[in-house]
Amino acid sequence: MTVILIVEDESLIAADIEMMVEERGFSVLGPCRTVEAALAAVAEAPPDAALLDMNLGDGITSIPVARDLKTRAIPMAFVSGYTASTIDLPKDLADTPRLSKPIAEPALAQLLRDLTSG
Amino acid sequence: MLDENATDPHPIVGIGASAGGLEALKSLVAAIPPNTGASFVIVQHLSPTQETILDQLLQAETRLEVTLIREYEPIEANRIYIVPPGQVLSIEHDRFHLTERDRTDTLHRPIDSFFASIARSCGRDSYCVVLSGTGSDGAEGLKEIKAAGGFAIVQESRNARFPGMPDSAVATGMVDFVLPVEQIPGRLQEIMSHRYRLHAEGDRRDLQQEIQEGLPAIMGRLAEVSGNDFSNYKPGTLVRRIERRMTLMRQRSVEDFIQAIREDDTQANLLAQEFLIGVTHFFRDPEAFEALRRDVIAPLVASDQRNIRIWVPGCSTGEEAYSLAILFLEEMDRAGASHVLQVFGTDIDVHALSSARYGQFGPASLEGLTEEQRERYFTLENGQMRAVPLLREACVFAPHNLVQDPPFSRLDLISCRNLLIYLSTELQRTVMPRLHFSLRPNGYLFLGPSEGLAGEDELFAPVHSKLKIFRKNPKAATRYSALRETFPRPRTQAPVPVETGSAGRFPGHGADYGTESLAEREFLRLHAAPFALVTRSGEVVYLSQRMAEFVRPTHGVPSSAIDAYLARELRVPLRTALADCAETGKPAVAENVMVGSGDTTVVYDIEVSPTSDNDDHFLVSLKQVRSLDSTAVGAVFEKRETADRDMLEIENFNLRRQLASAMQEYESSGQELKSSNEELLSMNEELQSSNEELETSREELQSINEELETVNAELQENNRLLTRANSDLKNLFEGTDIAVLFLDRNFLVRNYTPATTSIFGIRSRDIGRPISDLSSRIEYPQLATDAEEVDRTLQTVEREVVVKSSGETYLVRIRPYRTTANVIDGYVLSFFDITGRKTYEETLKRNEKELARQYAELENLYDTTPIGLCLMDREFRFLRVNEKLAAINGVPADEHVGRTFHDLLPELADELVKPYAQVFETGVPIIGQEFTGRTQVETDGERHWIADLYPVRSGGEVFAVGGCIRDVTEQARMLQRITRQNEHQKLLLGELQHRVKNTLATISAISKLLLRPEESARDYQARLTERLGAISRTHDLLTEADWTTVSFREVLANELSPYGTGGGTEYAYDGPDLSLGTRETLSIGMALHELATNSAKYGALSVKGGRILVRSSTETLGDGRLRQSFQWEERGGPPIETTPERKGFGTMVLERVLGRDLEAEINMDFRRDGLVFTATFDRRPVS
Repeated sequence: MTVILIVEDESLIAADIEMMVEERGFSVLGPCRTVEAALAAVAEAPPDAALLDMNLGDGITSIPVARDLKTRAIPMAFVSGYTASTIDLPKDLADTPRLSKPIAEPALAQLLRDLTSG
Repeated sequence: MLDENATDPHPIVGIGASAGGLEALKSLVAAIPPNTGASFVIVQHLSPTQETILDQLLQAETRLEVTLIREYEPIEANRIYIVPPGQVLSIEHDRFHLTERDRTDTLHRPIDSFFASIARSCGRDSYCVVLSGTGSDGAEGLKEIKAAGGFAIVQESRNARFPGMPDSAVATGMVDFVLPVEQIPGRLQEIMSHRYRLHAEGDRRDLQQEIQEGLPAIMGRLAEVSGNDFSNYKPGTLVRRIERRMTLMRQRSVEDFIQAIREDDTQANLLAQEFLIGVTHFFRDPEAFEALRRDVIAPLVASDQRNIRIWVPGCSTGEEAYSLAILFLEEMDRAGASHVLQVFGTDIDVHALSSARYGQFGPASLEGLTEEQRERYFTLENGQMRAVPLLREACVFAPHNLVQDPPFSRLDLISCRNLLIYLSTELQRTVMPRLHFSLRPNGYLFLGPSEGLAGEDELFAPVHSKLKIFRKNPKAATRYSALRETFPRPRTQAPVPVETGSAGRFPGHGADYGTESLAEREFLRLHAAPFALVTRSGEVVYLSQRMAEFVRPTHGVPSSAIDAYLARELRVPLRTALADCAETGKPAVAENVMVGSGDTTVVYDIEVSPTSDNDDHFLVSLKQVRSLDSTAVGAVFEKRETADRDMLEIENFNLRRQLASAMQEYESSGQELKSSNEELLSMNEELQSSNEELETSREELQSINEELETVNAELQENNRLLTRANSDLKNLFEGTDIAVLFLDRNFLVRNYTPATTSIFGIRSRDIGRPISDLSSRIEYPQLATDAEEVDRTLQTVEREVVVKSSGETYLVRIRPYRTTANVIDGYVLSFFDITGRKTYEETLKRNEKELARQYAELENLYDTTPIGLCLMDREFRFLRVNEKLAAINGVPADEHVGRTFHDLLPELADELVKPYAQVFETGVPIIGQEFTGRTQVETDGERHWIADLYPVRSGGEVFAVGGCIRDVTEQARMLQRITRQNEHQKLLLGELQHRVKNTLATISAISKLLLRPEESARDYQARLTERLGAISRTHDLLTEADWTTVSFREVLANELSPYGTGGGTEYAYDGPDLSLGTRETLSIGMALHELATNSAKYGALSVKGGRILVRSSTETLGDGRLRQSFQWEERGGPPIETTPERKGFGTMVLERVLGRDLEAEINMDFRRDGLVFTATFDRRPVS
């Protein structure tokens, strides 16, 4: 079963995503609210792919998680209200796919396919 | 004197000139000072048939008036007179007298005759000047002037065009000065003014008297210096000559003069020579002659050459020549040799020559001869000694000018004594080679005691240098050549025939007996009383015809003494009367002297009177006293007889006289023949020498010819070049567009270029007219003053002249007109049309003013512009800086110049140097270079500048870099602020977006989570709307609170407001209010909404009387966190039988939103009387 890590601080949104991910036959790791939780989860059982909310509240971002994933060569995507014009990704993460909130299901499906296809 | 008032007596200067005279006259006239007090009379050989313009030519050179002489014109001082052509001038009664020239007179010598005339009329005040000319006119006249005590000055022949006349004059030996022409007038004035002073200082007689008194002292000095005793000389002559010498030496007092000759040997010698003029005698300097005999003559006689040839130039009256002849004859006698002796005596004085030829000398000059010599070579003749034929035949006398005429040749000895001293050094130097030429290889030269070789020492070797005997140096090159003489001369003197009847007179002296009228002679012969001439000592010198009757010679040795010669009766009275007369100097008479004549006795009165011309001679005449004889009656018969006898005697006497006359004529013819013969001989000599020279000079001629051809070719080439230059000049003249006008000094037009016609109405016929006569477009009244300026400064003068009618401007430039001889002779006026230039100049001036104004503006701008400006050189030193930049740098502007970036801006220097260096290197400007840093100005922080650097070139090379510096600190700071604001805004925008999107995502999630499969869309929509409303209200609160902290009670009231009856009675609140953050507000807002909704559906709020109790508490934890909790307790609602199985949306919200998002500890207790919900959460301290 393909495991998808979800990092999202808003639990309602996380539930929504979880639901949509699970509806498409994936197993969900998390959802994790904090960077620490996400890093711990990944360390314990690395997922196959990850969907990361960029802004985790109080100025905290999921960049450290993304870097960890990148070192582990785990595909990922940012799920964020931000668009490219409002926030700049660090250079090393500039090519990470993005999914805009609110999430359109077809786009999520396509993204998941892309992330898990290999 | 006819006209007493006409003129005062003043000096007259006769100036003689001939060929080449014009040039000399011009120079001479130009140098005459304006106020000499003398009259200058020019005698120039002119063609008698042609009018002369000599006066005009000379007038151009002098301010003195120059006129042609008119007949009987008074002679005025300070004027120049010219003898008109075809006239002969003399002076009579102090006026000019002109006579027509005698055309038949081939020997036309106007200069001689006028000089003689001056001498006669002016005496000591006569002066003569001889200038260039051929021939010898002037030389004779000069002698007369000298004889009269006048002065003679001659042009240096070296500088004369034709040296004939000057040389002839010099050869007289009487010339006072030989000078270049231009110095002559000055010297004349010196002499004249000195003489004037002499006159002025006192009577001349006083001076002469003084001189006479000083004579013994002078004689003594001369004897000391020259060895000559002049004490026997006539005092009158000596005084005159001393006076002359004083004038020349510019001495005024006799004392000074004596002092001068005492101190200066040369002056003393010169005076001695002055005395010696014309004075000569036999064997002058016996010591020299003795040496000559021993070392020259004896060897010559001993030699075997057949001819011995001797030349005595300047022989005068022949003493020297005869002396030498005597020596040779004696030596030949002694040696028994038989050479043919020829002594050539030459001189230019023909009178002296004829005297020499006659060979008669006074006893005084023969003093040097021994008694034996006198007896052997001289005979007594008329009381004088005459050379014997033997001696005379050895000597040949001929006119010859040593300086001019070809010299004699093949000579054994030349005795040239006391001639050279009269010649200038230059002339002496020309004479020496002639003498050298004339001698045989071993010939001798015999000079006077004070003469030398004039520096030509290589030509002769001394034999006795003290006695001035020299020997020719045959090895020295012959430098003389007759062919090199500039002009072959005709013989200058015609031979003078020897006058007839010369017996009883001194040759060359006295009146011409030949011209005595026959009538006078006849009268004396027939009618005069008997008379005789006797000497003081009583010698009878002459008898008249009738006096002859009284001659009664006594027997014995014949004698002409009165005592031995005359009738006995006459002797005693005559002697008495003679003694009486000689003593008193007055006529003396012895009366009634009886003389028996045959039978009759006649009574005579004897009168003895002195003669006028000779104080040694006395005239004796016999006057018959008419008294009757006692034997008168008896004598009547005898009278006839006596008369007859008388007639016979007369006839007899006449015959004798005729015979004597014929004899004399014969002798005279003989002499004439001899003279001609001698002339011919002399000419023959000259011809021979010329011939020899011709022979030797043929090759020379050849080479001269070749040289001439070369010269000719050169001249042709020169001519070609001249022609070329001339045509170039002509073309230049016609081709030039510049108007050039040549004026002479009187502003007469001399020439002009064609362009001149545009300014002056000038045509070629106007050449020679005054410029003021010509119409002109320009007004130029300053011409005369400008010309004076040019004359004065010799510099070009420029003046601008305006043509009023057209407004054109001309620049007139006046230069002096220089002839090729560099003489200023007029003016050259050039006219340049400078109208255009003028306009241009004015425009230029305006532009200049404008530029100056703009420059000032720029300067002002430079210093006031808010931009800093500077100019840097290659060493990064400030060349220039404006006030603004100075202010930026914090250093006064004038302290910048010459200092570097490092000096002034140590902090910035490295940063500054780099771009400046780049501009120097590349030459490309740098725009917008930014600098940041600190200058010496104290500021609130770093400052920012923007600079534009641009290269400044000179001749392609960048020699400086200019900088424009703007202070942009304020802008930079504003930019920073804006950037920060932008970032902040972006952050805000991101946050907003994040929130909106999260809200939307939350709504999206809610909308999904709310979905119930069985529910109608209407119900679903109603529920969804409720939730959205709740979220919206929470947002309102947050917005009101500016998204910071919200009161928990407000959130509670907000959520409960739609329920119950209102007025807040449905719930109670117990505990402190809780402070909620944004996230907490949202989560709790949502949870409270679900609790209220649930309560309104199923719980306490669904029934009347149900109530809700909310309790709260806070607790501060050790780590600073705030632990907050609230409890929701429902009462009075429907009782809860069982805990609901299904977990609805509300439960999910409570669990997830509070439990997870707030990490809250929650507890749901479904009690029977109502739900009790507790939530406890930690809140981080608000930062």
